[in-house]
Amino acid sequence: MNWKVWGQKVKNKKIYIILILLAVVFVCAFTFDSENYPEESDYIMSLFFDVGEEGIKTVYESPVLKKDEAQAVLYGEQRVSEFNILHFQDFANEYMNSVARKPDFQHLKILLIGEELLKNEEKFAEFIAFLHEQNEFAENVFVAIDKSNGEILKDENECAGKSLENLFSERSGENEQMNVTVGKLLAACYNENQAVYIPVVSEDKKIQGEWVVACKKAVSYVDEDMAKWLLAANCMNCGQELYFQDVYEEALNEEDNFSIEISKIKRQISFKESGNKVNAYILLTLKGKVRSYCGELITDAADRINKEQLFSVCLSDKFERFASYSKGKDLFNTYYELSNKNRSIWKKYQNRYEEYVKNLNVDVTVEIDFTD
Amino acid sequence: MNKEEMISEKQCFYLITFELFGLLTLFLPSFLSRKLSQDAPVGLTIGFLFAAIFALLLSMFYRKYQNEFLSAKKKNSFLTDVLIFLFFIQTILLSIFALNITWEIVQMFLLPTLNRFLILIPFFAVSVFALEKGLVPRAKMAEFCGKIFIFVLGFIFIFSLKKIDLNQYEAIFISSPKRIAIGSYDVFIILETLIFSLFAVKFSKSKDKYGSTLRKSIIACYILTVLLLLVLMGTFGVDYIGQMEYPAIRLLRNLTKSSSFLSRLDVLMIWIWLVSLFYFFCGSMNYAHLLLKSVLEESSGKYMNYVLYVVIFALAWIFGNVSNSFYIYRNYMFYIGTPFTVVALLLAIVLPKKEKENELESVGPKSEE
Repeated sequence: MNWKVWGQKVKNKKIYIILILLAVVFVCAFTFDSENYPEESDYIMSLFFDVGEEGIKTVYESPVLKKDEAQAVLYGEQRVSEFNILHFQDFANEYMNSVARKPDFQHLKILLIGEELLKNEEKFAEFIAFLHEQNEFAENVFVAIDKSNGEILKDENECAGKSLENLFSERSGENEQMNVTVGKLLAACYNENQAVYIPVVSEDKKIQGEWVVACKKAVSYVDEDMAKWLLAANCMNCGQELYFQDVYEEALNEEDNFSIEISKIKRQISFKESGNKVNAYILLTLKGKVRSYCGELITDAADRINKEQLFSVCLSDKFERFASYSKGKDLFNTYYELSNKNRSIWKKYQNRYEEYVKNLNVDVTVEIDFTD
Repeated sequence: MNKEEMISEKQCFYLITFELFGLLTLFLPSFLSRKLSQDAPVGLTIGFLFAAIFALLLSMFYRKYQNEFLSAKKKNSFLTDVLIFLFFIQTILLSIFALNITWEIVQMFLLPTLNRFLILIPFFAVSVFALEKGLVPRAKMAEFCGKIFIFVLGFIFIFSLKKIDLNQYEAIFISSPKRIAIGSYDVFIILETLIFSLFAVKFSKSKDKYGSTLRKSIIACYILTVLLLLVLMGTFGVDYIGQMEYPAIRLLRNLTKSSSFLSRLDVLMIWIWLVSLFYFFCGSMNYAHLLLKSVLEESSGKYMNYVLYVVIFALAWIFGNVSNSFYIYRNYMFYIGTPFTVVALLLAIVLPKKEKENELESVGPKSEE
C-alpha cells in the first residue's frame, strides 16, 4: 500500500513511523502532569467571594464524585468548603494546598459576590481585574450578589449552582439582557458607559432586588419592584410580556386592586444642556392591558377605564419618584445613549461618566396605550 | 514547472486571504480599539484603502519584474535587491510574530498548564514538514478549509446578531485626524503582509490575473475584518475590546449559554485561527527561504533553510511574547520597512528596466531540477 501525505507519496515509511512514535512519546512524557487527570480536579459549580476580617472569604461548591457517577455532577451530593485568602489570585493555589486537587472552572454555573466586597471600592476593582485576567471563567457565567454570606451554597443535597442558574434562565426567558454575566459585568466596568443591575439572591434562592453597579463601583440598591420598572424603563426586558401585580401601592381591596400586562415598551430620549446641568428627557410608551388582581380580563368598561386612569397616574408618580431617586446615579442609563443622541454634549462628557452623572437631571414621561 | 505543481486562481485567492485572515482578525480588533476607540472602523477602512494602493503597486511591480524577481539564475537589479532585503526582514519578523501568537493562544485558551516550549515544538515541526512540501499542497488545503471557514464564520456572524447592543456604537470621528492617520498606518503595516502574494502568484496558472486576485483577497479580508470588528464592538463595547486579548475568540464564549452544550464553542474558533496561523507561519518561513535562495549561490542555499528555521525559532524564543514581537515588527515597519519598501517599489516601477540577456528561470519546486 502506498502512503500519501498531502497528496505526495511517502518514500520511507519506517522513518515516518519512528518520527511519529518519537513525537508521541516526547509529547506524552513532557506533558505528563498528574494535576491534569480528571480525578485530580474538582469541578467548581458555584463560587462565592466576599471581604471579611481575615481577608477574602471564599466559599465554593463542587460535586462529590464517586466511581461510575459521572452523571451525578449536578444532582448528587455536593461538597461545600470555605477558606480565606489574601488576594483573589491566590485562590487556585490555596485551593490546591487545602484539598490537593486542582480547581476546574470550566463548569462554573454561578459566581456570587458578597455585599461587603461590592461596597469596598478597592477590593471590588481588584476583583474585576482578577475576573478579567482569569481565562478559565467563561464570559457566559451568571453573576449575582449573595445576601447570605455564602450560606446559600451550604445545601449539600442540591447543587445550588444549578438551581440558581435555572432561576436566572427562567427569569430572563428569551431576553438575556436581564441577567448579568461575567462578560456583561466586565464590559460595563471597562466601557464605563453603563450601569448594570446585578440580582441579589437570598438564602432561600429568591431574587430580592438588584444592586446597580457602574464604573467598578456599587451605586445603589433597588428593591425588586423598583428594579422591575427600572429595567423596563431601560428596555432591558423589552419584547417580553411583563406582568405587574399590586401596581397600586396604596391599600386597596383585592377586588379594587388590579394588575397590568405590558406587551411593548418603547423608549425615546433627548438631551438638553442648561448651564452646567444636563437634562435627559425620557418618553416611555407602553402598550398594555389592565387586568383584575388575579389576572382576569375586566369586562366592565367603566371599571376598566377607571383602572386605566388610576394606573396612568400611579405609573407617572412612580417614575417621578424614581427620577428623583436616580439623581447622581443615572439609574436610567442615559449616558449609554448620549453619544448617538447629542454629539455636542457627548464630546463634553466623553470618558467622564462620573462628572456627567453628577450634572444629570432626568425627566420621565409615560404614555400608555390601552387599545388592542 | 509542470501543471500539477501550479495552483489555480481560486486556490491563489484562498491562500492569500487565509494568510491574511488570522493576523487581521486576531490581532487588529483589540489593537485598533485601544488606539482609535470608536473610530476603529474608520481607521480600518482607511488602512485597507492604503493596502489597495499598495496592492496596485505590487501588481505593477510584478508585471514588470515577474521574470527577475525570485529568479535564482538571473542577476537582480539594485532596487530588486533592496526590496528582497526589506521583504526578507519583514517575513522573518512576521514569522516570529505568528509563532508567538500561536503559543499564547494555545496556552491561554486550550492548554494552560503546558509550557511554551512544548507548544512551540510540535507546531514548529508540523509547519517545517508542511513547508518542505512546498506551496501547492498548502494552496489546495487553503481552498478546502476556506470554504468550511466561510460557512462557520457566516454562522457565527448570524448567531451573534442577537447579542449586539446598538448603543455600544458611539459617535465616530471623535479622534483627531492625526490619530486616525496613525491608526490607519498601523493597519496598513499589518496589511503589508500582502507581499506574500508575490510568492503565491509565482505558482499560479493565471499569472496575468494577479491584480484581480489580490483585489478580491483585499475585499474579502476587509469584509471579514470589518464585520468582526463591528460585531465585537456591538457585543463587548469598544473600551472593553481594547482591554481584551484576542476578543474574537472570546466572542463565542459570550454568545452561548453557560449550560448549553455549545458553551465551549470557542474551541471551534480557536481551531480556525490556529489553522490560519499555521498558514501564515508556513508562508512567512517559506517566503523568507525563497528570498534567501534567490540571492545566494545554489550550493550554499541548499542547507540555508535549516539555518533559517533555527534562527527563526531562536529569535521567537528570545522575543518571548506577542507584545515584544509586535513592538519590534511595528517599529521596524513604521520607521524603516514601510517607507523604504514603498519608495523602492515606486522607483522600481517608474525607472526604466535594464534588459539583461540572462536565462529566465523562476524559483519553484521543479525549476531547479
